Amino acid sequence: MKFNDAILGLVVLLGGLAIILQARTFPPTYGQAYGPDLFPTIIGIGFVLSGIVLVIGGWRERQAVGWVDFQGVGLGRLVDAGIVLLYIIAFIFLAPRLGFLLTAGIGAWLLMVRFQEGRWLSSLLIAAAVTLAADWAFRVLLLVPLPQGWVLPRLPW
Amino acid sequence: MSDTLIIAFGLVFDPYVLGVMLAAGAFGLFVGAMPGLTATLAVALLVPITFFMDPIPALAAIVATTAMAIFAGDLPGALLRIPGTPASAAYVDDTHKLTLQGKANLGLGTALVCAVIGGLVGASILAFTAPLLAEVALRFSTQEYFWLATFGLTCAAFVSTGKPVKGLVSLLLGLFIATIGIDIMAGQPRFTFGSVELMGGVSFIPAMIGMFAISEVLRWALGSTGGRDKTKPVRQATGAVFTAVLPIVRRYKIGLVRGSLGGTAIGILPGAGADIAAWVTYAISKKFSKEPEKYGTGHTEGLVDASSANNASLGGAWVPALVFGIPGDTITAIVIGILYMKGMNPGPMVMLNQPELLYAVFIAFFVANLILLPLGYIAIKSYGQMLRVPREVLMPIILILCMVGAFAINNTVFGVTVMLVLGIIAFIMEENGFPVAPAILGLVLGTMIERNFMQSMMKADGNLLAFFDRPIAATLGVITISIWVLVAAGAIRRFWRNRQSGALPSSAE
Amino acid sequence: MLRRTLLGAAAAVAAMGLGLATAEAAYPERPITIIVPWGAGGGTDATARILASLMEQELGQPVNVVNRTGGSGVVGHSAIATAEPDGYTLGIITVEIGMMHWAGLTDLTYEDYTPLALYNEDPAGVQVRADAEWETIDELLDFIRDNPPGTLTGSGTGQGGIWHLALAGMLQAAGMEPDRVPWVPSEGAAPGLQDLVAGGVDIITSSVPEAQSLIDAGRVKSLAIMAGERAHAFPEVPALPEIGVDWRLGAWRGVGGPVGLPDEVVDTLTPLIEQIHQMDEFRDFMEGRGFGMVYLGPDAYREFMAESNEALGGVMQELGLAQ
Repeated sequence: MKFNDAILGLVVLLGGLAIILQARTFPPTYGQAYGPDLFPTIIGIGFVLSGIVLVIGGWRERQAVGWVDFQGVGLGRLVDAGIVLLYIIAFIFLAPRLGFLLTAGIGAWLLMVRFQEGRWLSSLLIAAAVTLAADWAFRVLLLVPLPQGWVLPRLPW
Repeated sequence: MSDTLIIAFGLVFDPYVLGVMLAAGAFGLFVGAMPGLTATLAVALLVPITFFMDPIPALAAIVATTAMAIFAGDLPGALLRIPGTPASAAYVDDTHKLTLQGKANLGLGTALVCAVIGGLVGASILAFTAPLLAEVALRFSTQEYFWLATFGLTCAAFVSTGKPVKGLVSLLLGLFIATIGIDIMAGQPRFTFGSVELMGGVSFIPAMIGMFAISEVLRWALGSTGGRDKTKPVRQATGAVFTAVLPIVRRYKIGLVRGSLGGTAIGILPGAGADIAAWVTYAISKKFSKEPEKYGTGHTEGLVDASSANNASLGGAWVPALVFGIPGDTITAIVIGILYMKGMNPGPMVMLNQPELLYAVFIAFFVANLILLPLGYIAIKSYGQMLRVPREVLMPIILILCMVGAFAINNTVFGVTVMLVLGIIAFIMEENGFPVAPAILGLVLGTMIERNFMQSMMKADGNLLAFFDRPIAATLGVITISIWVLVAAGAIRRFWRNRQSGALPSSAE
Repeated sequence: MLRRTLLGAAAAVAAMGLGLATAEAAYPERPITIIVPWGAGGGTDATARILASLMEQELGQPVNVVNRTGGSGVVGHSAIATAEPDGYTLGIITVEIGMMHWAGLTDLTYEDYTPLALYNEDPAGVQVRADAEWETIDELLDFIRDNPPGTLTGSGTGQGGIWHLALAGMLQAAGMEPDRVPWVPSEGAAPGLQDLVAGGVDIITSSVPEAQSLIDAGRVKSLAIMAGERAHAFPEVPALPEIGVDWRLGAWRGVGGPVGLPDEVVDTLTPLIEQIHQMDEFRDFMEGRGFGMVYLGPDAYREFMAESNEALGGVMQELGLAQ
């Protein structure tokens, strides 16, 4: 997914402006020449200037490059990328409730089924094995308190 | 001194201590090879175990763990473009592209051999000069650190690829992310939008996992690079691990020396560790290389510098820790805590009462790096088996590991959110020719630059000349500014030449 | 792995051998997490880890220390307060709980916790370079009084942190304006002390134990502690009241959990922590590092936090550090 530099330049430029505006609300440090707004402001100015350069450059080559180039990515591929993102989002929201095992396991299973076009049984076995191994390695060996959730009982190890 | 050395040798070359080091080394390899799990985490996990050990095996275990973890970070970096620890991020593009060319064993073998050599050099230097070096490190105040960090930032100009303005945007993004959270200078929350989690700032680890791993998975899913259907994924790793490495090491021996010495020096300074050592030496290597255009495309030259540097830097941090009780990095901060638990207060009293302890640590580093050779070899061989797994199955597994790794840094799903957001940003950046490396560098150095600038200005009441009123600071400042002038002059000259050569055909029109 | 199993077995055997109170209660039936709002390697982290090791040994269940750093302590303290009140997530609550809300960083106060035990309090000290011209705290205060503001600088923690408060309060108690020695914020006592030795700042008002290794190294000297009387561990360092400056301030650490911990948990942990506090391993460690040993049970600890909260709020308001 390739955008014309002018579009990204505009995003960079507006982002820089937003940073500068936000930084102006930081109170100065009492009795000091430089406050917490100094560095964000410098960064913001840098973004604005780079944004302008990008916009000018992108505008010049708009004929040659066009505005957006999907580089022949089909709908199927977009769905693939979409479910990768959905998987992570689902983990963020569901893992604290359903627990690591269920969320990560079912998600990985669905992803494998999709990527391997069917083959749900082998995918199920692999996903289950990997999730259980990860749970054991991280929770037991590395003492990472993975979310337990309310559904499954705590595994005996 | 020689008596002490012999005692120290006796302490380390004890079957129990060596056994502990071997076990700890295997543990370090495992943790380091997991994306997102750092050497620091590996050491923190060792704490309850070392609690039941004598000081020497406890320290030897930590030494072995860290030396292995830093190398192991290269494994997922090379095979999946997911650096296992931040110290591997500098050269991940080179090792990964080598893997794509079917030369995984060459890349990893080089990284392994250079890591071992760097580690050995670092340990030897420190063993003989530790007290002296600690003295120099103690002279560094905020002005010196400011220049050092600014010098580090200059490296962005060298590690960046593509259009300079895009590299600048990437660097600024990293610097901006570093300002998020409660500002330590004024206690003022910045860009947190009321989120308690953001008050703690954006952790480096989830950010790094997102920018490398998630963007890579997305790219694969969209089939834009790495070829989902074009070519069959990755070719098998072929070739011996060691034989092909020797000519490379011989060819780039200057880089090896440069990396080992540079890494040792950076490691000694409190607050600068393996990750900064890798970035800085990679940039320097590229600057002095005859073929800088090959960097980042599967070239072994920068790899030689940086992978020797990150292992060499490890020992350095122990110097101020043992000699003055000042932690050089998070690992040695934990070490100091462990020493206290053993009733030994790090500082010159340890040097006076138990000088063998310091030597034992450096001998342990020596031994650890020797153990690294066979253990690393086994790890490369077995890790290479992962390439056999079809990507359709591997990618969901990688996602699980990434999510757990991002979660583990603070034990909240907030880390996963950070990973997701930065993953998407990095994906869009790379698709559009923005290099990711400068952003990572900005993230590493941003806080250091701002904090030391502000601290210096508070001391000097806003007088900018304060950055030149101490001898070391003045020297560092002059060097940094000269490099900027040279880089700028070079850029202008190139621009001018391009304009002239570009102007000729148009005038002929 | 084998090692861990062995350790677990050893711990279990030890617990059985000691015949602890855990036999009658089901709690704890799984690992406990202790959240530390400060970084690995610092004083809070070190005390939490020794406490956790001994709790693990006594309870026969793993007790994991998790560092939740950042935001001047806000992040970790809020993680403790918002944890599930089931007794499996506890935390170390530090003096900053009585400061952060006055500074406007958070709404959290000591009332958002179930207190279990206070186990440590360290008074602030006054540290200068060993080769500094001042031999006593009197000479230092006179020097500050006789020279223009900003001649000397102080450091040791972030802006508005506990040691900043200590310095400003001491100056005020000595009859000077509290910002006569500008504060250079640092990430903690260790980086501040390093900068002191490097010649970047002149005074570090951290606790004495934090400076111990550099004092032993002959690089730093401690001129006074801000307590009512001299400390047991540092008998040669005078207390401020001895020179007529009425000012005392210390940092403290205690164990607590979110509001609403079940009685079963409180009844198990309270005697356990009191018992650990008496154990030789704990005493040796705390005294070895010079950490001040105190012990207060749940009710006394709650009262202590309330008083600390009021006192800190008052001082911060006077010094202009409160919002």
